[in-house]
Parts: sequence; structure tokens; C-alpha cells
Amino acid sequence: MSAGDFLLDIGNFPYLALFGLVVGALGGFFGVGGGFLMVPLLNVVFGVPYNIAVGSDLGQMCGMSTAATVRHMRFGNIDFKLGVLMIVGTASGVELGAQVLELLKHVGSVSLLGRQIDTMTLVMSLVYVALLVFLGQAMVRESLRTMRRAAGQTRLAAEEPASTAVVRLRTVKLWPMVSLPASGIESVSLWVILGIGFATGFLSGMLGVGGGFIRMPALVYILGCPTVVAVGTDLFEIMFSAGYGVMTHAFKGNVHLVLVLALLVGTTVGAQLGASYTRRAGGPWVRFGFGCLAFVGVFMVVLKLYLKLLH
Amino acid sequence: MEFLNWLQNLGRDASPAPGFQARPAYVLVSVFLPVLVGLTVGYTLKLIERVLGVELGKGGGH
Repeated sequence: MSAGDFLLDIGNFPYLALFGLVVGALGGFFGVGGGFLMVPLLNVVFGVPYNIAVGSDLGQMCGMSTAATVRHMRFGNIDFKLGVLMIVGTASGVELGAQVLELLKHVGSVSLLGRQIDTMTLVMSLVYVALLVFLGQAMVRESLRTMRRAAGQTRLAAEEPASTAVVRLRTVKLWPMVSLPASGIESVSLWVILGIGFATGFLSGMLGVGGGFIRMPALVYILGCPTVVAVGTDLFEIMFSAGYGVMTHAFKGNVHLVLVLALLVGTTVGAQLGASYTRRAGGPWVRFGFGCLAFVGVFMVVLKLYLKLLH
Repeated sequence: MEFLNWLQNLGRDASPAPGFQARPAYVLVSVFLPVLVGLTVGYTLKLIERVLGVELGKGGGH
């Protein structure tokens, strides 16, 4: 189904904006975009097909990251050279991800437990379950470790050491090498930068997520960017990857304009509200809550899939 | 409401078929609508911060 065939009752606009406000507030509160909650919940709660949810969420994300980039620019936290180089890899990844989703859209249905189910719904639900479980457990484990450290149960460490394999990527000497003075990086292979962009772009194009949960650690641990520069550059990068993503999905008829506007209205307000409340809560508890929220998302996706198989 | 109806009608053309080609207006609005809203929100928040002398939350975006 495309955006042209999916008739959204305009009377639902306030509910969608309210939904955007809640997800935006959660994203702002937990310091993430919330794309990986937005897409599955749009499908589960409002019955929006995955391809339209992905295309429209990328539109919402493009607007949100544009607003955030405008505000980050004054802090000088953006490495524009790194951002522009990464866009090449990201755009290729977004295109491949969007093509994979397009392929799934046209595959039709498969038989599972004696029932017919749409292939795209099945594959996307399973991929989202895997993604949410991965993110949820990582955040719960990290927050519990931090809380134990704060309680003095384990030794204090300023930073978790990056694995040897990750550090090795930083030292790859594959031509051409580039320097990134704004990030304090003397020399790094262009292919490493393109690879990071490609991987996160693929996730954006296929799943409608910003990919910050991969790009941020990659920029810090693989390239060695300072964290503040990684945050600013990540937002700059999302602005272009989501922009390219929404364009390529529009060409495939996956962007529902009314849905984009409703989500934008809600998330821009919600993100500000959420971010304001973050200051009043402890960091590890916020991340613990977010990890638990990811498992609620898993439960909802699995329940929807189960009910679909029943009927 | 008029604007929402216009957006809804613009999207009606986004129907896939062999050789499907989206209308240029639909693609352009898909890209520029979020960018314009983002720029408006970003600069409005900057203005509010400057006028009121407060720092609002940085919001999401990842």
C-alpha cells in the first residue's frame, strides 16, 4: 500500500499530533529521537503500514534534526567536513535500505502457522523486535552498571574501553586518508567514514530510524571524535540522511504528508517538554526507564503480530 | 483544515503502479515541508532563548 491508497481520516490529526507529542516527549526526555519507537507504534496503534510509517517518520525526523541543528550551530559543535564526507556513504545506505523496503512491499504474503501474513509486516516486525531487544538490554545493563558504580559496588572508570577490533578500525591505512582538524583527528581512512555512514544510512532507509545509537558510539570510539562534536555532527548528518530518505521514499509513494505534519507538530513541542524534564531526573534512571520502554515496544509489536496470525 | 485537505489531495497521487512516477509537487512538498517547519521551530526557539534569556531543552533529533 502507498501513501496515495492509505486514507488517513483528517479528524485523527489531533490524535496523531498527541501521539507525536508523547513520543517526542519520551525522545526528548531520554535524549534520543524516538524513531525506533515511532515506526512500530504507528503500525501497532494507528494501523499505518510499515513503508508509510518509515517514509513519514523520516519526514518528521528531517524537521526535528533541522531545528536541533539550527540550535547546535551556535555552539560550534559540528564538524562540517566529517558530516559532508559521511553524507556520501549515508545516502548510498539510505537508498539501499529504501530499496529493500520497496522489495518487501511488493513481495506479497507468506504462509505462517497456516495463516497468510503480509511479508513486509512480518519481516519489519521481527527486525524491530530484534532492534528493540538489542537497544533495551544494552541500556538497562549500562544504567544498572552506572548505578552500581555510583553506589561504590564496582571500581569507578571514566570511560568504558573500546574493544580492540574497534580501535583497529581507527588505524586502517587504506587510501585515501583524510584529516579532520575540527575533531582533532590527524588522519583516518575515508573508507571508515563512508562505512559508518553507509551502515547507519541503511538503517535509516529501511527502518526510519536516525541511527544515532550506532553513529554516535562509532564517531566517538572508531574515529575518536570528542563527544560534543559527535552529537552536533550526528544531528547535522541526520538532517541530510533523513532529507534524502524522505525524498527517495516520496518517489516510492511512501510519505503521507498529513501524517508528517501531525507528527512534526507533536514531536517539536514534545521534545522540548521532555528535554526540560530530563534535568530533574537522574541520568542512569532515565536510561533504565528507556530500556524498559523498549521492552514495552517489543511486547506491543509481538502482540500485534500474534493477533494478526489469530485472525 | 483547507491546508490539510490540500496535503491529503497532493498525496493521493502517490499511488504505486508499474512505471509509477510521483508528482514533482508531492516530492517537493515532502522534502520542504519538514525543512521549513524545522527552520521555523529552530529559529523561533533561538529567538525565545535570546529574548527571555533562558536555555530551553535541546530536544531530540537522533
